[in-house]
Amino acid sequence: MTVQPYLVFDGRAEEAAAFYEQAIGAQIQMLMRYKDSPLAPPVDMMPPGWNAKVMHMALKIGDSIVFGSDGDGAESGGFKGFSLSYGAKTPEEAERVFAALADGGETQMRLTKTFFSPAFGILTDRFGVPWMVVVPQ
Amino acid sequence: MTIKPYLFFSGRADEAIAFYQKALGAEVLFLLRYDESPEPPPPGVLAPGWEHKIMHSSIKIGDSEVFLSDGCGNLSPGFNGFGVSIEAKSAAEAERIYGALADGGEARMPLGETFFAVSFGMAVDRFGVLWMVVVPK
Repeated sequence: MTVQPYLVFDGRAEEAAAFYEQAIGAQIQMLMRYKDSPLAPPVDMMPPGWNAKVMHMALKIGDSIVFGSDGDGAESGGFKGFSLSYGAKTPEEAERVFAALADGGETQMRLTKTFFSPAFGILTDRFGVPWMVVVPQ
Repeated sequence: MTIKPYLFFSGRADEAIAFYQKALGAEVLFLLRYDESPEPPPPGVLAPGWEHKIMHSSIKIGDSEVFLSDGCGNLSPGFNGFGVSIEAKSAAEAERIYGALADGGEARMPLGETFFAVSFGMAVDRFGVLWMVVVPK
């Protein structure tokens, strides 16, 4: 049994995938649009043009998989109640990843040495996804 | 490098851990309360009565790790914009997990066969976390 985060990007999934590819070396393992799916909702149930949006995608980031979707076209209202924890191997990797993810986003707490980590920081990326970057001790 | 979901339970993390232990056989790997922390948050950051709440916790669900916290207060409870995908090994395991997670919560899409899964369903648990239970084809 495995557990993976699943993010809803409200129409920006493709842009997000390209950003994570460039920023943190994500690989798009799978990407299916509504129009290519045998299980898509009827076209008139979705906003115009939503047929070309991402129904489901799988991104490989390091050793982990993150799933994403554009959702069904209803505004989901942003990300709340969670964060993605990025465990970096070294403070150098943490610096690089933190800067790349925060570009165009917002830094809540700069990378800092804490009692539990040589480098820990909190940010929200340009899509509103909350991240914690940490080098485990 | 790994990415783990980090969930914020706004004061119900203890209850959530107990629930996931029972529902998913989760195992507590680490748990630190604010009043046990060598670096407590600055005065005024924690909500009154929050001293014994969970600052950080790590639980193991199957082969994966999930982080949990109570956050600093009950300021913005709730979850939005994401889900947790849980991959089961068999349809029988999916049934058991789905039933346990939906107990006290809400079944959003009952388990059934789809073009991409032997079994797939969605449920919101009693804490408001959206789970996608899937047995891939």
